[in-house]
Amino acid sequence: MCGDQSPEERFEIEAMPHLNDLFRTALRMTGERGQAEDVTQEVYLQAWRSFKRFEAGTNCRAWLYKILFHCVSHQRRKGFRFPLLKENEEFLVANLVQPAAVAQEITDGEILAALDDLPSEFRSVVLLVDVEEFAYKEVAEILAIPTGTVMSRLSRGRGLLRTHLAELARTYGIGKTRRKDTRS
Amino acid sequence: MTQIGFGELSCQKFRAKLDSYIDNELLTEGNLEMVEHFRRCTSCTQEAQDRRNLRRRLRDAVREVPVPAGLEQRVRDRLRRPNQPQPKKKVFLLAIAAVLGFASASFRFVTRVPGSPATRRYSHVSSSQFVNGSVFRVPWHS
Repeated sequence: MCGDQSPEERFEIEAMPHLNDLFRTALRMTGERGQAEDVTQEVYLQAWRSFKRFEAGTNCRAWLYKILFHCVSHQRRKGFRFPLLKENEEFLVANLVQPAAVAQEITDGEILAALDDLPSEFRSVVLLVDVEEFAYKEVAEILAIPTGTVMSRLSRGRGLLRTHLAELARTYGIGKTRRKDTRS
Repeated sequence: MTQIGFGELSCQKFRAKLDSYIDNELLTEGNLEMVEHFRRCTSCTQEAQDRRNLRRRLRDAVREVPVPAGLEQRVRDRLRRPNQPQPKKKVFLLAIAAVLGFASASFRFVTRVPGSPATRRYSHVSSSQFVNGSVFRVPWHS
């Protein structure tokens, strides 16, 4: 299908459509638009340099995200450090975090702020699964971590997010008694 | 509390698998168990709905963030000239060069222009004395 296409044409078709999504993920991971743009440019530069090694027909999007998270962690090493978390496989326990519905009164900006407050290890997994809709196996490949770790980080990240938003909702006077009589 | 029959999931186990169910990561058998539990437990059904709702709100919020105008063009430009420094770095280097150039020009202007304080003070000193660094000794010996 793409045997007679030049590398430039293949890159254009396979890599360029993901630019906006990559920028948005970079923005959530770096927290600053200038840095996110630098990272996005770097991702495409690195991708183009090693595009000859990329196998046609494989998952270009996942490959670009892998480069993205490599660049983000490289930038972080250059700049500042996020506190590292101890990996804890409390998958079952983390799933039992008291959930809360996202009230309509909570704005997109508040949801983004809650996401940005997550430790980066959790935020990356939540972004990749919930926003970019990658499968657990793909996320494991992108972040170079085991699938079980993806699941536990996802569960804990979502739990923290729900807790944060539930607290926010309570400040608006929403959902104070909702859970009491509905749990079985 | 929902009554649990043989082979049915308790709410605790259900919620432990709920994320995987929502992410479509369970096998067929696991999915069937979840669907069966949904039919019996309104609380867990609501819980699943809440989690889906959060996921949807999160996705929409992230995807609605605007991308900087001209980003695609800047990426393309950078790919065409991969060895050029990034615009920010280039501007920074140009700024340093401009400051150094200005400082150098100012120094020359102050020391060379006839009538300026520096040239008035050392007007009796020849340029060769200026160059070889003896300017500070000359007035004492003259």
